[in-house]
Amino acid sequence: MKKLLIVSMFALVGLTSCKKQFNEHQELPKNVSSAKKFSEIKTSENFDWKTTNEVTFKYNGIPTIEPIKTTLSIVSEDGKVVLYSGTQLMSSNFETKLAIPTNMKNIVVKYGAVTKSFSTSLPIIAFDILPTLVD
Amino acid sequence: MKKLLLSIVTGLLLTANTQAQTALPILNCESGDRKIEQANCWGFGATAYSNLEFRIAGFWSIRTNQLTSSLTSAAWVKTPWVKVGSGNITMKARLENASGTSRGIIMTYIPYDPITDTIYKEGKGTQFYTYAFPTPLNINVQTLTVPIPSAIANSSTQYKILISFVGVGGNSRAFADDISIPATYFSDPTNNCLPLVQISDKDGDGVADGDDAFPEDKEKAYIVQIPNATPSTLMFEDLWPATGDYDFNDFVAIYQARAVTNAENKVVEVIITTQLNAVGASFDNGFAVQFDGLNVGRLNMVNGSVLGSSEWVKLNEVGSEENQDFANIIIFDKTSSVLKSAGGSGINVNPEGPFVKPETVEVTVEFNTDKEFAIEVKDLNLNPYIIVNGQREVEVHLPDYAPTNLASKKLFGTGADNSNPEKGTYYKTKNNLPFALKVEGMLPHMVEKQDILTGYPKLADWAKSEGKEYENWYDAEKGFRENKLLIYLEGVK
Repeated sequence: MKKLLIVSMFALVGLTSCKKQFNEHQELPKNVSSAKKFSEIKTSENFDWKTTNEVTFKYNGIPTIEPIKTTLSIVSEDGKVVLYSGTQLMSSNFETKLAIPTNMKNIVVKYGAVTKSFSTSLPIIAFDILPTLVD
Repeated sequence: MKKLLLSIVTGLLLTANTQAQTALPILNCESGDRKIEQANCWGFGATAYSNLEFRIAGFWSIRTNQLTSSLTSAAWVKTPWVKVGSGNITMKARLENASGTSRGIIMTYIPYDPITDTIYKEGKGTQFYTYAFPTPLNINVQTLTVPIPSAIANSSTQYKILISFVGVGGNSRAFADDISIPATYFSDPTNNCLPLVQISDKDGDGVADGDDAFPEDKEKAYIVQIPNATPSTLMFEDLWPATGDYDFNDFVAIYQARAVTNAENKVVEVIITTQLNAVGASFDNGFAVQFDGLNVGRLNMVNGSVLGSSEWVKLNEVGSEENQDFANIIIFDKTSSVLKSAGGSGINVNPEGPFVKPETVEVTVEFNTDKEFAIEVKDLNLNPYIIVNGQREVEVHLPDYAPTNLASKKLFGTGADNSNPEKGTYYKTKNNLPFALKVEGMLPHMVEKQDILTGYPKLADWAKSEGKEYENWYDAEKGFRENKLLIYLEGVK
């Protein structure tokens, strides 16, 4: 009985040890890369290696009492990168594709005195100059 | 002469947003969305658009909140800044039910006061008309006709007309519609709805000097970053179709392309700036950019290319490369035309040096802005590539960018290359590995013979997760770079 107990204890320790090793292989810490050489990387053919995200920008025009145009610009949050700048009729729709660096988390859209900030995480950014209603 | 001078001066002053003088339209609410009117500088306080059965005309009318206040600030509609004409203000109004002691409408004119400390620069108002709904109250439609006060009629200054709805007792609301005011619209929706002001436009191109990158050149207005050509680091391996040591330093350049556009948003010129930082190769590679999809007819002239004595360089009369379907711009024919070695193997790839100051080549591509040829920024798809060691038929491009028609297609599918033109996949291996990278920012490059993963370890996680993890793997965050294996030249970070 004593021998059986000792054998059982060793078996339990062994099992626990195996389980620990198994878990280590299954759940590598997120910040540890498994590939040590570039040639060891495998990705699907859909991966494009771009460090930009494509975002569709839409300016939604609104009817105006008379034709009004001014500069529409899209810039980085710090204003250093001008992603787009051009003359825009207030009543016309406009759409363009932007290639936004993956480390640029927000962009700022300006139309005259109207300034709005947008997250770049969405594939479509829609901008208009309609006011937010406060009753 | 005096008249000519006056007309020139007038030309230099741009009325904000190039507005004409337009009559203030009747407010009939038929847009169904008061935000549209608000964007055109109308104001609404405790009033909304309603299509309930009590509407007065058409499908929509103004509906107030319950009128239980005599204050003019309780429920109101306010015009944009206008220059008031002469004649009558007219409008229709009714009550929603007959509950209450009294209901009324008060009109006030508000002058523009540029020195008041408020956003809208409204001065002290003057009441000029009061209307009381007939008592006992009823729900009949009333038509109001109100003469414009002589104090503001045909004035050269701007006013707003405030129409307030007031009441005592009960819970009746008011409806209003078809508000007509003889006036000229004089608000600027793009400038907090302030009155129009004259803005300086020295070159008269219609773009205010404050927005104009070239305020004294009417042919140019804006400088715009071209998509996929924001300041970035190009890193090539040059042994394609064979793989190399993946240090991605055979050719390293900081690259960006910007478009100069005119007031009609047409591209006037493209400026391609290339700072050659390092050459970790024995090959003397050239560098070029193809404008995918654009034929040479769109170009006027190419200036600034650095061309040595390479025999393979053949240019047409505008300075782009001959025999190409799409416009190809040779930035430089070989790295040795730009950077001279200071001795040792390679340039700027050995941590011990010697180092050579990076050189910048700026090429300007002028475009035809005639109507039938003009293009916009969205038409610019730039495709940078290297030409390997003077072999014109050997090009290395960024992954999935097509070769030019001077590249030999026979090399596709040879060595480690797994390009498949039918599927539109180019310059990648069977494991989808590229032969070149373009990374946002001005980055340090790898020391010679050091695998790029040793300098940028998170690149592997980014690639394996197909871009979902560590999408800023190239940033200078803790654990993202092994600095002793990277070369930091001046300006990179």
